[in-house]
Amino acid sequence: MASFVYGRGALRLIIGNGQTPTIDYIADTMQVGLSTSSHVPNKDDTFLDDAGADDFIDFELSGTGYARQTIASGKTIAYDTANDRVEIDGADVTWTGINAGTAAQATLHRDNTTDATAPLLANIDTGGFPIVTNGGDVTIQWNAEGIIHLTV
Amino acid sequence: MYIKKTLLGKPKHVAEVGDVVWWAPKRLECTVQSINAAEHTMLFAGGPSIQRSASSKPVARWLVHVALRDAHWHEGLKMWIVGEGLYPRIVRGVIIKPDPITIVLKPGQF
Repeated sequence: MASFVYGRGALRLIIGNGQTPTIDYIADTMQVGLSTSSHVPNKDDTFLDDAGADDFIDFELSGTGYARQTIASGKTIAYDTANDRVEIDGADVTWTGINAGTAAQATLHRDNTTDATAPLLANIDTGGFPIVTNGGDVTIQWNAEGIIHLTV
Repeated sequence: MYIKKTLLGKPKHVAEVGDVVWWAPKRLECTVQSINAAEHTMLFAGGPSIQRSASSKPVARWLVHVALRDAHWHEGLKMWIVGEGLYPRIVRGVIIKPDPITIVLKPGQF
């Protein structure tokens, strides 16, 4: 499956009002988590924990060096006039010395009080996934042109 | 890039087409496109390809013309450095490089 943006994630990001909780990409804490291939993401999924049998939370990696990483800096939303698109970007994330199984994909989400209320934004499974974590570092190096493009 | 010896015998890297350039203000990895030896300048390009018109061929988004004296060779990174800014991070371990996720917004979709 190719990488995609969750439908309601896009809705929260673009519309905001009426969606609870919203996703304010710049102001909110945005995190990236890793999960195995048993996590079957669907564009209609809403939260990290949707009370289903194959949600992110059901197959999140667990082990040495694993924790959800925060996009700690560099979060930007800017309009690229040359390419007629909004570019959403952020700093790379790194797991140091991770040995927690095979990561098949990454999930970009807003951190919230509970996983059942943490809204999903995007699922990423390209660029080198799946990878077998073996105690080395794993870095997600976002493309120089951004993480998400909204092309008009 | 080839290395020539100066009068003092120290190696000096000479820019060639195809050399990697780190455009520091933009934090962008570019490639030398051409070198004008007479004017001591070089042209480097970087960024994704864009098409300025339907009939034109794709060109790199950024095309920068600089004096050769404004570029210095970084031996550790094996690239030319132009401008001031952060250098590329040397990342160890596995590096995942996902492509941007694109949503195409068309009239009537919202």
